Amino acid sequence: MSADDRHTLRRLVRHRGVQIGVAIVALWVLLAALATPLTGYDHSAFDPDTALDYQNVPPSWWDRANLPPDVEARTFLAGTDDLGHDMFGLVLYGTRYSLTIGFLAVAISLLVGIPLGLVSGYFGGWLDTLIMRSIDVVMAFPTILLAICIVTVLGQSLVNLMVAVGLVGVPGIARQLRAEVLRVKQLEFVQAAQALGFGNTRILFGHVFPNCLAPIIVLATLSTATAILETAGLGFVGLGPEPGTPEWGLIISENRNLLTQAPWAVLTPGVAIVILVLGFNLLGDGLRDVLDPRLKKR
Amino acid sequence: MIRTLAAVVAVALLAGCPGPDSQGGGTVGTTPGLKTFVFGRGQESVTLDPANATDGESVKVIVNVFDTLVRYAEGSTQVEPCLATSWDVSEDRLTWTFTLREGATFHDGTPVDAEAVVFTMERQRDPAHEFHQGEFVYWKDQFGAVEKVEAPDAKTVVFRLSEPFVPFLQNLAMFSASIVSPAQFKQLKQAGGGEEAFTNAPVGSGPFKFKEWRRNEALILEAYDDYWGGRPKLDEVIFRAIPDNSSRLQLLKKGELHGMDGINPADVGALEEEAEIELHTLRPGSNTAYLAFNNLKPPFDDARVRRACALALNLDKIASSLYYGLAVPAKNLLPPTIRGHNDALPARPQDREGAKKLLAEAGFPDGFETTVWTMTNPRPYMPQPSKTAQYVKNALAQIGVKAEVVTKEWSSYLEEVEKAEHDMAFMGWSSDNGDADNFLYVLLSKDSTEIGSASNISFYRSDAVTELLVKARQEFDLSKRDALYQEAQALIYEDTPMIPLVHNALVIAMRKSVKGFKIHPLNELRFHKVDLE
Repeated sequence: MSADDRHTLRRLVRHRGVQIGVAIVALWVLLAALATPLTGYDHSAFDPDTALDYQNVPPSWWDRANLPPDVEARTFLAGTDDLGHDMFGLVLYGTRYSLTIGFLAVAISLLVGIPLGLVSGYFGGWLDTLIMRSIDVVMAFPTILLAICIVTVLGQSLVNLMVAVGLVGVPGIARQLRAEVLRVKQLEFVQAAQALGFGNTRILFGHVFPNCLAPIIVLATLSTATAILETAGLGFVGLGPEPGTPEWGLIISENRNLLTQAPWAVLTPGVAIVILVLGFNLLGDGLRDVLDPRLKKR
Repeated sequence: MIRTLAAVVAVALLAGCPGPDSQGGGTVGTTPGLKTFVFGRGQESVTLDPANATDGESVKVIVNVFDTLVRYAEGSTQVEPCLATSWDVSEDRLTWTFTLREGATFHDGTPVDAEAVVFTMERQRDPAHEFHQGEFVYWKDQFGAVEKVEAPDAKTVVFRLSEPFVPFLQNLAMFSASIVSPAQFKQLKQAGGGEEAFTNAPVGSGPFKFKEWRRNEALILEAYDDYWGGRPKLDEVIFRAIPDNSSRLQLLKKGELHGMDGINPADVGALEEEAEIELHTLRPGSNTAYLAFNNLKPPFDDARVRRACALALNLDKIASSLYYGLAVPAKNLLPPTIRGHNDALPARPQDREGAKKLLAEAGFPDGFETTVWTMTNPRPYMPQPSKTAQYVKNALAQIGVKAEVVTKEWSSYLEEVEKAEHDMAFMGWSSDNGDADNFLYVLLSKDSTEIGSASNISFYRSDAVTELLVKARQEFDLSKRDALYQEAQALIYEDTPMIPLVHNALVIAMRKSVKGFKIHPLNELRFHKVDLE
């Protein structure tokens, strides 16, 4: 580890936004992993009949007057919905879906966006024009609309939802990377490598790409937040996984009829989305503060 | 931090916005000075051609635009004179003669005469008829016995039947027998209109005439001044489709709607205390929600598998929790409100162990994978289709059956289940005419299992049951007829081609300013006598 890297790392660790962001994300990952032992709620072994005895039970901190004694005896941190799901357990369990979809969708964005951005920026010419104009066309569509189109064409499933959210993120990654490549390929060490007669592939992956990583890492983190939001949005409009899957957007949509009777059934997943998205955004912003050379030493 | 803020706002919007497919702020122009009654419902009508309608949303409009020869009396399923003032049946019960009312006219000004009745009926009966366009699903089930309809003179209509048919008169009061204006059909054809022309310009002789239909926005009817039964008190009736139950209720509370159906069962309790709103309730209604097995597809071609699935469900819990106590658990497909209901059959208890045993006997000791289909929008008999499906999925999981929930939008849902593409599918039926035949024959006879237009979407093809049901159609001795139905229901109970789940209450909410509305056991929403204060 070079002195410069150590310096960056120290700045990262000391950054307040990064600290909070990492804490939130780590906490969520931990909670998601421990959902069942923590809350006693097991989504895969859910007994629908006993659960129905605990329908629309208010959270333990809510006004719990007029509850039958056997219902009152059980506490639910975030209440239950009308199928008797423990909302806290269900939402924590749903974190697995949101995080997985978020990460994999961004992985798809990167997998498609990085080659496009590299090729476009490095080779330029007609290839650049072709790729960038195509991306302009894609960007002309509102992202949610585009994602809806993709899901409609591919068919409705968890995987396709991921693909849709991932593909929607491609233009951002590709454009950002292209801009970086355009900057880096002017630098002397790249010209030196070219003068030494290195092949394009070697220059691209050995010299150019590693020096474009910082902004991509920032963008990927922020994209994860967007991906989680978009997933929830698609789940809400019914283009997500099948009903009954504890995906946050879907839970909100399924329980919206309870808004007056059992608001906690809608608010819990809503609050979960806010916190997790906030965590990723804080982390992303912090990373940018530290990694972006233009913001350095201010 | 702008991005963070944006995210927070987006989530707030996401949690707060009314629903995936609601029309939010779609405003309907109401003309000042007119008495305009606005009714909110969950779905758009499919067609306004009475002979081709099969869904409740279409019927709600049709009964206000069209008249039938006889109609159901207010608050009961007894028939009373409507366009026909009197009728007579021959000794052999094969010839029915109707005398038509003087002075009834269609909205286009032409008289309601015997020719119009013949046109209405022959159009559905005769495949060679110039206007025989459509499926006419109801004709086969309800009027299959009609051989010929004749008009000896302008005010007399004669129906000739091929066999005695008990529910005949009852069926004539149904929407599908609504008398349509032949002149309108001919004129539309001359103007080059296709099969769908009449649904966009329907002409009947009912208290309201069709004005305008902006799909998914508003369907507008206006009072027919020359209605034989007296001009309606309302000037206009507007039907608005608002898919989301909560948004619809909000609009009712705000006064943008005067009446609505499709209330979240969860909201009913709180509504009873609302000062501005009056709830009209009938519990149980004449309807049944059921889970149909596709008896053509393995493993549901095995009665043991079907019985096992039935044993996995707790119908009491469904009625008390998912329907918030508004529904009563079902024993039979036929609701207890309808004559012929077999009350002697035992309620099906939940028995997971018994279910597993049956599955093992049928060769599925470890269960199997399948799908359970449900509709995206609430239906009168099923206010929570998605949650009910989740309950069934979870309950089936307890006996090892892994069911995936498949949701489809209503019109494609109907189309695909009629083609037998489902494994298990939720469906329901609201009585059309208060007769047992309309439930059992339509939904469980072999004759209604034609792929593509089946109303028996269980595709249950029992010869014994069909024979009993056909016999009952011709048995004029009502106690003997009841016995036939009870025997059929016992056989059906044993075979379990479907699981009758619950009979839901009819709940209509009206603002207190609405006067003269009475809930009807067949859920007919007639606005002729309704007034606004």
